[in-house]
Order: sequence, then C-alpha cells, then structure tokens
Amino acid sequence: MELSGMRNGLRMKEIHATLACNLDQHVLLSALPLLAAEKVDAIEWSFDALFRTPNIPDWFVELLRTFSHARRLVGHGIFFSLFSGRWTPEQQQWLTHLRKVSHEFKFDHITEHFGFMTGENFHQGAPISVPMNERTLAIGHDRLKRMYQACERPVGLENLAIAYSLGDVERQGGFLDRLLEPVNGFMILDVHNIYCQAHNFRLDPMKIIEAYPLDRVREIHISGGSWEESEYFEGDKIRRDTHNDAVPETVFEILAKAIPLCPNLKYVVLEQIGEGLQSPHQKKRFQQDFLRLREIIQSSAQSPTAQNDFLPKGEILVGQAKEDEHLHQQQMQLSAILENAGDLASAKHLLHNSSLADTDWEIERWSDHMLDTVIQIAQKWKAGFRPPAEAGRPKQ
Amino acid sequence: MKVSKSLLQAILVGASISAAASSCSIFEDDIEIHDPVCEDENCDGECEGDDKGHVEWNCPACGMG
Repeated sequence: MELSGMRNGLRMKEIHATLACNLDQHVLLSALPLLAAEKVDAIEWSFDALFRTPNIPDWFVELLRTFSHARRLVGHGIFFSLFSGRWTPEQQQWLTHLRKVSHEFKFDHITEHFGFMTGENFHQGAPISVPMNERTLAIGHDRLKRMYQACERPVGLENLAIAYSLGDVERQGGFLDRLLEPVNGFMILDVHNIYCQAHNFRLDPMKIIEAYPLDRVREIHISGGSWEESEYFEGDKIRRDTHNDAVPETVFEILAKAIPLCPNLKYVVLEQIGEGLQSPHQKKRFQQDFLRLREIIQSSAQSPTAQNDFLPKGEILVGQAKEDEHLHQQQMQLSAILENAGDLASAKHLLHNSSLADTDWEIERWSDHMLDTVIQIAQKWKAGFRPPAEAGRPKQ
Repeated sequence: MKVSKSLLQAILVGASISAAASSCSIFEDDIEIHDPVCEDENCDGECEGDDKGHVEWNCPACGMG
C-alpha cells in the first residue's frame, strides 16, 4: 500500500528519506544517530558489493532484514554492465546472485546504472556511456528483462554523471525512456550527476532534468563530490561524482525543485562513502545533510498517490541473450585506450585510428576536458578498489 | 523507521571494533560474487581490510565518477 500521509484532506503518497547504507564502518557509525532517532525511512544496499567478503556480520544482515520486513529496502547494483556487447558468465552469475538475495530479502525494487563497465575483469572498471542507437537499445532491453526475471521486482536505471559531449547529455533522457518501456521500468534521477553535467557543459541543471522522463522517476539520489583541476576546461575545474564530501547547497536547491516534478517519486537517497566520513565534523555534516533532505521532502509540494507501480504490464520473455560482437570489440578497444593512454593527445590519436572513428560513438565530438576526465576515471578504477594514489594515472 | 535498541547496540559495537565492517574488499582476479549470507565454513574468501584494521579507500558502491 503506497498511501500513508494526509495533507489538505488528500491522501498523499509517502516519499521515504533513505540512506545508502553499505557495510562500511564510517557510514554505519555516521548513520547510527539517525537510525536511533528513527529518521531513516528506508535504506539502499549495494547487494553486489560484498563478493569476497564471507563474514558478513549478523548485525548487518539483521539491519537489512529489519528494513526488508517493512518493505523499506531497495537494492542498487554496480557491476552488471548493462550495455556490454557480449553476454558473459559473470553477468549470468550476477543474475543468479540477484535471484538469491531477492529471495533472502524483500527488496522494494532493484536498480543498476546506465552505461557499460570499462575493464576486462568483471569487478574492475567504471561505468561509461555508449552510443544511443537501436543496437544498444536492443542489448539494454534484453538485460533489463533478465534483471526483472531474476528479482521479480520493479527495475530501474540511474542516469550517468559522465558524458562525452553535449549531445550525449541531451540524448540520455529520451533514450532512457525507450530503454525502460518494455519492462515498465523506472529511473533514478541522480541530482548530483545532473549538477556535474550542468557544470561541466555549462548548462542549466533544470533544463537537463526536464529532458528526462520525470514520470518514470521513482528514486532520486543526492551526494557530494569533488573538483578536479583540468588544463582543458578554460581554466575551470571539472566536477566529479566522487561521493566523498558533503552535499553542495546547489544540489539541495535542485532537489527541492525536482521533487514536485516527479509524480511517482518514492525514495530520496543520500549517498556518501566512508572516505569522507572519518572525522567527527564530517559525520556531523552528513547527519545534517540527511536531516536537510528530510525537511525538503516534507516541505515539498508532493503529488497525490503514485500512478505507476513500475511492474511490467505483460509477460516478460527472454530467449538467448542478445549479443553484439562489433559493439563488444569497440568497447574493448575503448577500454584499452582509456586505461592505458599516457595523455589526452595519444588517446585522441588512438581513438581516431580505431573502429570507433566515424561511427555512432561520435568520438569526433567528444570534449577534450571530458575525454581527459574519462581517462582518469578509467585508470582510477581499472585495478579495482585500490588506493587512488596507487591506481591513478601518474601526473603528466 | 524504528530499529531496535539491541540492533543499534550491535551495530555500534560491530562497526566500532570490526574492520570487517567494510564492503571495500581488495580482491584479486576473482570473479566470484559472494553470497552475503554465506554459511560455508570452508569458504576462503577474505576481506583484506581485516588485516589493516580499517579501509581507507573509496568503495565503488557509489561515486565511481
């Protein structure tokens, strides 16, 4: 039942103030006062992040079960790599794992990210964008259906922070709408990702938001990030979605404007990583950010009951997994270039002499400052979860 | 939402003393997705953070941009 609150005699749907709560020491210690004060309506858990960690503490499982029993647990995947051209055993294993945890916990819904993961190893890489054409659409439809079959819950996708070009920013909303349609899926509107794109492409954030299918937004994310020096952005810095700092004031302002535009919104999630929550001051700021999120929800002009349950309206059938070998080869080439390029010039040279040239990838339109940023991201994550100082590209 | 006092206490103790309280596990070229409710006593999966006392680097549960 979606209904709970009353306002002006109208029954209003409830929007849950939600914490991204993973098995991280600093996140949990920061969240404790909020949990104790009953301020956390729901939690989001990255169910695929605990591989190679066999000794999950009983208390963490109990925390998940507590929210699961109340239908206040949502699952957020990281590694599925929705648009990989080749179907891999690791993706099948990911689905098997999703099926298993979905029996163990009652997720209200399951989400993943738009894009594909760089890197040959399943758990090493970062999500980046793909050409938005009929071929990638077919792959995405197939993978979303498989996600739904595994979890039998509403499935959704999050918009990416990183875009290669202005066209990439402008196309993502319409493409997401077409992508989600067969499973009646929903989208996560990550407001900090929008904030990054608005800064990095000098756009009005609300114009970007309005280009998304806002009736499909069931979840909103907010977070903080970081500024990166760039020699390719007219003296300005690049905004990165690194989740290691407090939420900027502008992001709160965008959130307040976005909530009334999303009639099916159910969860607003604060995301931050433990790296940015080590000092008492950082923990306090995190708690203040969450309480601010709650206040914004409560003071927002919310629409009456949600119209869409985001469950498929017909039977979901899948046959053999769709594959696109040409797309796979292009992705492998792109990953290798991004992960190994010594500098921007050599990356551009390699790209222009690759199979991505003069194709829907539109590498000829990629902005220098964003290509340089994507190179840094790919090189940061190619070795998995290593300290950034070790994993990053040496400064030129 | 209400969380029991005993669970809050367990989280406080567990998160304060346990480096296992991190989803950031160093791993080799292993593609295994581990069962979060693993009951296999012979399982050799290991979080490297256990040895360090704490984990200092980013967790890709979010913030990969």
